[in-house]
Amino acid sequence: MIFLPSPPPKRSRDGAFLFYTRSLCPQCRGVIDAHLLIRDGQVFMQKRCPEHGRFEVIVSNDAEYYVRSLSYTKPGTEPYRFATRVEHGCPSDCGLCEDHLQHTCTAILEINDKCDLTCPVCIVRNQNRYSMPFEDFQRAVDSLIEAEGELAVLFLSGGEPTLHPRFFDMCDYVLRGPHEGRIKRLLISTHGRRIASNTRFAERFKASGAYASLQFDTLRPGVYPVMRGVELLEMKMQCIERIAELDIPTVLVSTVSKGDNSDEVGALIDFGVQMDQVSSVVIQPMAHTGDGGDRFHADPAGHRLTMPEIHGLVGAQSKWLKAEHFYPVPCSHPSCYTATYLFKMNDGSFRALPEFVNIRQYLDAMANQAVIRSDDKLERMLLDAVMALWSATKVGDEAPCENEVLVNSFKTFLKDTFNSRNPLSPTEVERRTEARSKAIFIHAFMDAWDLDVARLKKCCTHYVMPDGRLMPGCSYNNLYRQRDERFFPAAAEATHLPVVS
Amino acid sequence: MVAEGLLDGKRVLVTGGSGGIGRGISTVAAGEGARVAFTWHRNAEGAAATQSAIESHGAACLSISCDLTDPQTADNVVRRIEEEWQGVDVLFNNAGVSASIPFVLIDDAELAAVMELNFFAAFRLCRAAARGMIRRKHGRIVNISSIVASRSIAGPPHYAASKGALDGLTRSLAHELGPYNILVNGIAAGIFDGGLRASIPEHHQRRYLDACALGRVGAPAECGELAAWLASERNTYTNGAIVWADGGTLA
Repeated sequence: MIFLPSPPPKRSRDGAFLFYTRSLCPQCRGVIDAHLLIRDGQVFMQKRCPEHGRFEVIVSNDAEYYVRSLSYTKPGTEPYRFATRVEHGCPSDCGLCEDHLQHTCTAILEINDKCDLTCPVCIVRNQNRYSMPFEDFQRAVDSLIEAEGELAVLFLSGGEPTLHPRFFDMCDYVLRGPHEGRIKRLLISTHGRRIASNTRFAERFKASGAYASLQFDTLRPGVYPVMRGVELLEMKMQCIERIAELDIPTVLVSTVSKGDNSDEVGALIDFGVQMDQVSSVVIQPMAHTGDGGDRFHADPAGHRLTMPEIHGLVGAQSKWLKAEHFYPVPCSHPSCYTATYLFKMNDGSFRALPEFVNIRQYLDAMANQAVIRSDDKLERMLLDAVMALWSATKVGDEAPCENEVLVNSFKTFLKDTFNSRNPLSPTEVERRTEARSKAIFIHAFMDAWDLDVARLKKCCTHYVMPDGRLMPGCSYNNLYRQRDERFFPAAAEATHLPVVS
Repeated sequence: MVAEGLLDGKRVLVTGGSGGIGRGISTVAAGEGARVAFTWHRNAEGAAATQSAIESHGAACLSISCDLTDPQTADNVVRRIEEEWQGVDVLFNNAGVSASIPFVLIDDAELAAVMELNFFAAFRLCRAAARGMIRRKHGRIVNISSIVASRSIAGPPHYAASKGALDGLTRSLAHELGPYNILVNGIAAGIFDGGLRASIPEHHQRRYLDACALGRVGAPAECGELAAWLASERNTYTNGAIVWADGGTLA
């Protein structure tokens, strides 16, 4: 009898396969296969570049949340026109190609790449050479309206857009030009220096009707030098004072870097919420692209903040917001955008809507747009919330309670806003809804490490190109910006660009 | 096989249950398997008779003496039933008052008295009962109205106006409460034995009978049968309707 040695035991893979996707090599930016897997309750992306080897990056620190979040999805909306043909597949045909699964909710138009700051965390790489000609700007806005008809949000960005010599002409063109009323909200991505230091500029800004989208990363000294290269706290606070004084509508945008200001998320949200002028606070976990990728954290391992991690930070640091209040905004991929909408009580305090409304109705009210809708779905949701809260107590239990404040606040709003004896125009309904609500958004951009074409496919935050193409934000930042001849003329000559159809 | 009652296990509240249509609804509801609470005011003898009729079916009964024109009463009545039976599944707003007075002679106090019982009390009872119904996502409300609410026949103007208001409430609540599986309907009653019939002048009753296809006034239990069906699980789609029960008088 021959005794064969038993074969060595087979090794198990280190994680459970979730799905296959495509990504980029963080070193050469080549498009490579990737897969997501679950290990130790977390989600990781693994990928291998034939030239640069194997990479692994954490995608979510909470696998259960990640999988559940995928169910918060809605069919996308098609734009009126696509700009590029499908030739090489995602992410190589951006523009949008006809296989892109979502229209533009939020458009970003970079009107210059000149900036008087050199922020280490900047997600772009300013060359200080480009200033968009006004005619190009007009064409870009025209093509945007052609593709979308109307738009919830347009950002003017850069560089520092307030340094553009025709900045106010551009605001006028968007808000009072031939497309007046088509773009609901114009936001200016700014560091705030001109508003803080130049009274006349600030007054013109207020008169322009634009919102300030103010970079605002910290409330304590010592953080700006790390993240923005110089101490800006005093200037930022001056800007805030000017915003309050002139009543400039504002969105506060905080880039959050692990270990640098990640302990301030709750405080930043509270700071924004208590300001009447601030309609929303946007938390952007650090994405390692542009200067941020090259100079701040060349290898972002250990510096990543995933979406549920941010929710957890909010829950741990806030006295009134919880991680469970955040839900994916259904218009984009659940790993890109989450939000909670807040409702203002009659006593001036705010409560998160998911605390007391039906979540399915809530998601409907958020569907395919970045700002809460102000229509019959909102009315129905609030009405149901009133009914649920009111009926939760028994007849006769009328002692003042927590619910009474909520019910009375909803009642006041419903009476003032959806009063059928005195119907208001949709614009007025929208204005009153905005005055009663605020939003906290978590917007996670991708870098070459965690870029996932599944997320790109449903991206609704698009850069507007002068030739009319619309580039999903993260494909542009990771793949196309380096080839954009406005910023990098030499590099653009040698590279493939999507075919404009 | 045991035939199931239309209202088996339901907790029912009937207002104005000491006579007429109120007793008819209470008796039919008890016969159909419901536990019946009814309110009454002043007519103790009639209330005792209604209680006997309910209990003769082996049904649980709550006899509640109260003045529904007191704004607190609606909540108190519903709370009392909730304490006893943990909820109200069906509300029959039946209590009503009328007095045959010419329009020009109706003073404010008389107008207020009619509106207070026929409309405001019904409104408050709907609100009190709906609270638990919304919570349980189930309920039925039947408001007893009158043919004078929507047709131009002789009837005291303040009474006609109060029933018109009740019909408006019925239709509006059907919309507002329908999404919570609470169906709200009304019965436009003609002339029935007992109750308010005594307040209708003889010559008006004669004109009614002349026009009635069945040639007679209704028996309270006949209104009770319709009310029981509208309040039952068998009714799943009739909502916001004002159903005529007048023997074909206005057909």
